[in-house]
Amino acid sequence: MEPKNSDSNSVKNVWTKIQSDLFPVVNPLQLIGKITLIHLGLLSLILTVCPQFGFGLFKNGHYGLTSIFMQVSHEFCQLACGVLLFGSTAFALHLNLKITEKEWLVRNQMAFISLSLFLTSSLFWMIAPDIYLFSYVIWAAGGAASLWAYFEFWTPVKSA
Amino acid sequence: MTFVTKAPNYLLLLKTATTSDQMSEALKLFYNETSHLVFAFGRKKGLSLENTEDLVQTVYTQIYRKRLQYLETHSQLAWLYIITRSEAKDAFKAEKIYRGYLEDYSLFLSQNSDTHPSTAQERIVLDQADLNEREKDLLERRYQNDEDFDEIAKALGMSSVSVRKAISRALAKIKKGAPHGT
Repeated sequence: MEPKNSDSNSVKNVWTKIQSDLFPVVNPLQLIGKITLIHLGLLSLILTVCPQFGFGLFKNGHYGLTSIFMQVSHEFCQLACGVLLFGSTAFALHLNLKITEKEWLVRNQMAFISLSLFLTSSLFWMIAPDIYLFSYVIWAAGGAASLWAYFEFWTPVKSA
Repeated sequence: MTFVTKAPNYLLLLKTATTSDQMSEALKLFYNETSHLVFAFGRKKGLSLENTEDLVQTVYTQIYRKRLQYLETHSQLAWLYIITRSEAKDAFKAEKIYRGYLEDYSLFLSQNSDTHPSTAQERIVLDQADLNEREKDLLERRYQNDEDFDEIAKALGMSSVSVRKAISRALAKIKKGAPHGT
């Protein structure tokens, strides 16, 4: 359908801008960079309330969220940590990504979940090599579950 | 207008779309049918072409972002108007400020002494503006003697609000009566 406006150049130009702003063509490399930045930003924030890697702000007997999670059990703390980290990443992505970018993520969700878990685990392993396998598995399960739940129940967009 | 009676509900299509392709298509159809109204509104309200284009872009971006708030029982054009009016306020404000900057900048750069009227020239402008003696007195006190509103009010036995209003009216008369460019 052709626009009704007399100044059709303006109309077309503005539509092109709207389309590229709201429905941008996805550049996978740029998108991965954007996701990485968001995830690393949240990771830094969450590490401030977690005493495990020595970055926590609450070191004088107060362990922030950990003290609450640890009241349940050590395993719960690991699980909640994974859910919190990857759940907040999913939330931030939901707020910051355009719909075409979300569709790209949905299409590649398994790769995204695996890669983000692998890279985050590698980062943690570099910081603290003595991670216990059982604790790690619980943490990774929490993270994977929160990302999977996001894709399954929350994202309004299904794979196009 | 044929749009009102025959057009499908594009905003409902946009609201219920589940993929970016469907959303883009619904928004494009609505844009093609209605953008001339927003363009015309911006231009009639005195916005430049550039600012009108920005306004149109913002309006349809908001239409997309607020798609879930749209109620299908309401007219699409009414929804478009509400969003256009809301976004236009900012555009008008921005344009007014920008024009003010441009005018001040051209005054600042100007080397012509005509742009710095003498007191006599100022007096001519005041006379041309058809001000009465009280208004001239108020302006002289405010802008030549640098008295503030409260001081003037006290000296003339008026309230501060009345002084402000009277000065504002006098300035409006000057703007109306002043030759172009002074």
